[in-house]
Amino acid sequence: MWFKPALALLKQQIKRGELTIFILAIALAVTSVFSLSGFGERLNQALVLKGSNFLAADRVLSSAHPIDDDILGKASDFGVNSAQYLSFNSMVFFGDDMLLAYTKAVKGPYPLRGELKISEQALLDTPLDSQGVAKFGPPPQGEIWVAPELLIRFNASIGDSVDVGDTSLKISGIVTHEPDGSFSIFNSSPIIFINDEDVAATNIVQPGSRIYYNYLYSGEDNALQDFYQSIKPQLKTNQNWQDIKGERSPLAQSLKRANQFLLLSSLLGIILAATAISVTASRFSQNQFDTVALLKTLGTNDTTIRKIFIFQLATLAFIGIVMGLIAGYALQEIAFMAVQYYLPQSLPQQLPALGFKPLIIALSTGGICAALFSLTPMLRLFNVPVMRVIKRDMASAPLALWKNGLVFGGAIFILLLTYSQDLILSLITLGIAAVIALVLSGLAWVIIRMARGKQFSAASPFKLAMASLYQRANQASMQIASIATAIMLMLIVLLLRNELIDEWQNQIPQGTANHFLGNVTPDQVDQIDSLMTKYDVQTSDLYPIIRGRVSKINGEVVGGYDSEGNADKKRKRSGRRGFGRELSLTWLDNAPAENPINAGQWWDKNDTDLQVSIENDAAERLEIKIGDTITTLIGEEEVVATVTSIRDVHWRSMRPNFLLIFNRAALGDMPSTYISSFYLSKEQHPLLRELLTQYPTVSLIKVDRLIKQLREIIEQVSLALSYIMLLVVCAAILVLLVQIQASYQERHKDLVILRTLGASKKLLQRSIAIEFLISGALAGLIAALTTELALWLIQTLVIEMPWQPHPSLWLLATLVGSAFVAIIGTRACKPLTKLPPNELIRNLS
Amino acid sequence: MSEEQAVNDIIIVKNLIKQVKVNNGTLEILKSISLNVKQGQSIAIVGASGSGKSTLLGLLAGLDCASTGEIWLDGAPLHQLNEEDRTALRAKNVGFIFQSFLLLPALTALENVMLPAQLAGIENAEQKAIELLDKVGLSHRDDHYPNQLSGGEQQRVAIARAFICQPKILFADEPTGNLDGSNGLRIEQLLFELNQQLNTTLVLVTHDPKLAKNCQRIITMDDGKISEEVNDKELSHVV
Repeated sequence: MWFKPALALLKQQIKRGELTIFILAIALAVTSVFSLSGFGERLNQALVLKGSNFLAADRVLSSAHPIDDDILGKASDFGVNSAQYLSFNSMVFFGDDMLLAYTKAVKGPYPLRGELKISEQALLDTPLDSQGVAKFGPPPQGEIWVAPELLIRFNASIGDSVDVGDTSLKISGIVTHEPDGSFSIFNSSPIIFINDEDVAATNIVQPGSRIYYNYLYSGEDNALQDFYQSIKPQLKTNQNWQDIKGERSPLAQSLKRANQFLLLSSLLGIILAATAISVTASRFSQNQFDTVALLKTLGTNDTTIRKIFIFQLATLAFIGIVMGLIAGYALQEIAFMAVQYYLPQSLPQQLPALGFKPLIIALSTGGICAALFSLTPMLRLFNVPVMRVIKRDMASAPLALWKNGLVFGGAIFILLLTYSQDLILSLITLGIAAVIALVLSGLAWVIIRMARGKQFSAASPFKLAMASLYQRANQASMQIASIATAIMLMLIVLLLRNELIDEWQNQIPQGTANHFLGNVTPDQVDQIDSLMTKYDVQTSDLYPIIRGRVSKINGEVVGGYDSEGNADKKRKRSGRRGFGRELSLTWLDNAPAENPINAGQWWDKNDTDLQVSIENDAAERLEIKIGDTITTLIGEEEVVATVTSIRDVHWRSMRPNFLLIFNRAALGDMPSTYISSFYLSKEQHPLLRELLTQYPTVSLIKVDRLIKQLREIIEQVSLALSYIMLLVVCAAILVLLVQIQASYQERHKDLVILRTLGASKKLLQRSIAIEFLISGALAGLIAALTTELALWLIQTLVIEMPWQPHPSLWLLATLVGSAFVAIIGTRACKPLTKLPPNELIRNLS
Repeated sequence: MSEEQAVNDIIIVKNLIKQVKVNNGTLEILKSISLNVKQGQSIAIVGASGSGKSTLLGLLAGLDCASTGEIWLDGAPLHQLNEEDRTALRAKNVGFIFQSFLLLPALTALENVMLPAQLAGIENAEQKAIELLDKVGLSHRDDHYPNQLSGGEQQRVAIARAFICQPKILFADEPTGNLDGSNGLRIEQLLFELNQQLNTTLVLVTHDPKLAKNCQRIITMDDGKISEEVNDKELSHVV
């Protein structure tokens, strides 16, 4: 019975465009959530997939002892693929020559992720990665695949045989790409691959041998998790289950950061959409007061009235949600197409499917937005007194401001928690929103005081603008709050994106070192230097390396803590906090250019007193200051040096970095090897053959794969953040339009009265423009303040990046705010100045 | 009033037609109206709801455009002017009083009264506004906002506002429509008193026959057409 009039009313309202913005606001919230969570989740899966290449699997179970087959056999029950390899060091012999090699004895379809590329020839003057064909599984029994360095050092060729333990194996391939190669400069033996079936013949695996058993798994995330849960009770503490997200690698950290950025930006965008929904719901409710009063007069009971309007709300929400899902799906597909177009190598050929999680989150968001943010306006609507039909100014009392705030804040929090599933992040985001609300209360008071300082005058557009702001002080405050929020979101995303990119790109600018050189003896230093010069290769300087342990600080024995300053329970010695481990020490005559001194002074190379320079964070952690003494144990020898400078170190740069640097007098006479890093272009690759041939004891590590991967991630995240900014801008425009629409009727009435009384169109247009310029500028200023605060919170508590103030932010925010609000506001209000007064006077009367 | 003034027509209307578009065609609200109003006259337009009287008022005041016909307001051809020019004309020559008062809620009583004078660039707007508020008996409420005033008080402020620029013509649309008997009477007295003092031409739309009878002329609108009833006062003045 109630359905038909409810539907008829709704159709009329939709036709008249009264509910467009409400539907759009819900659609925008759903679009944001669906596209971002869909994009984010699929991108994350794709990146994890790429990242899994570094493990050669999705998960690796490693152990110093073999694991029972009945444990491992469960993998197939869960639909999980498996492979395995033994890893150990072994001597490889070729005639009279021998070399220590890192051996992988493979069984099964290794690698499960990434590529193992094998070539029948290795050209060192072209990138190795581009050579060879992908292989899955071990070399045939009786054969061996070797790293090119081994061939160079042995001066051997394909077809030659080498001895591994007690067995002889024929070289049938050269390893040109290994997905899970080691990056440690101290473990840089050339790699060899043999068949697991050949291990027994080598007789290398004996009781007590230092061997690692590596079991590789790949499959669906849920299946892997279920498999792990099934075997976990039977695993021992020294059996390690790894995945790319758990690994303490730059890649894992990058992925974590990327996810946090996407998530945070999405959360902040949702708040904007929620604001728009709340305002439009409020307007929708107010526009229905007369209808409800009339229905009550006609005998409609409360239950039926509730049904009518809940039906209307549900219908609008449904339309908005459907629109949002369609738009969200399309947008995230377009986003992926863009990524694949601009960064073709960065994603797998087959993208992961869009799972149900983004859909469920989007539906929940739409439902929560429609229900919770319309709650108080709806309650008010249901309580409209029937006497309103006679006393036109009667309406149900609005909820107290603090109660409204509580409902709104609670709804926002539920929304944030649903989406982020992160309590801390949700609380911080809500805190930021609450701060904005508080700041705005103060601002509203300021506006009223400012606008009412002098008597009103219609003599100038500025004064008319101020009068308009005063008249709509509460609405103006809300409008300013919304725009400030939008500008703040845009600024936060922009600044975080730029800082993230700058920070990462500073770590890995073009020309970043892509090779590390180690185990260089002192007599080789000058020769290798000359070799580098011959090929025009810039090195980072050759640093002497001496291993040592800090035993005392200011004569006090250190102990009981590890290098991160955490209590080391195993040591149980009390005393001063130390580094907790052996360090790689070095000595230099000149301060490294990339380690700025922030306290003290660098030494002269001819100084005879023993001096040391310490890294800034370590100095703070260990409470070391200029003038303190550090005693270092090197072998049996104690070196006592005075701290004369404290430096900043950029740890994530691709160059040798040191906690402690001594002067020549302190460590110059200590036996040492040297390390360095350098960038090698494609054209300079012939250096490698000469280096490896002439200096077979030198270790060489290639890190360009890692750099390439990091750079791709940066570009992808940058693209994702740009997309988020676009969504935030759309949300901001919508919120502004909603706010203007909320004041339209009142504004219309005022303008018509002024027009009737003889105010020129120019005067009115200017006053509107000035009003929006002022409110936009105010919004911008507030946005600058809250952005700084938010960035400080986010960067220090959530993302752990160093915070710096942003002075240019204030001017930028004010200008952006003014321009943004003025352009959209004046455009939206333009029809107001064109309407003939006569019609409205009739309507107003 | 001199003979010359008496024949000086401040409003001239010739064959005025107003049509509006409706769902299935057009609706003719005014059907070829012709009318002259002399300077200083008071004229009441009466008629049933929907007869077109408010539409006629709006057209005479330059708030709207006719479909065809001519309107001359103080010698200016309204039918040939654009919206801006009509607005400028209103600022100089026209005052308004509305049924729903239409005061700006953000302005005090004094500021509302000053508003037209400020828009017209008249000096001493504040002083003039104070004097007018005094005349309407609200000098003690000059710093109050419309929502702090009763209906009658708001209309008195509106009257003061209407007269601040000493307009040649005052248009009043149901000035007592939203007021009770005693307030309505008070407004009526005030309106005609000020009108006489300032020698303004008054064009009044009303349902109130007592209010209409205070005017020199009464025009009755019926279905978009005009019929006229000449008042005794006008006859005696002309002669």
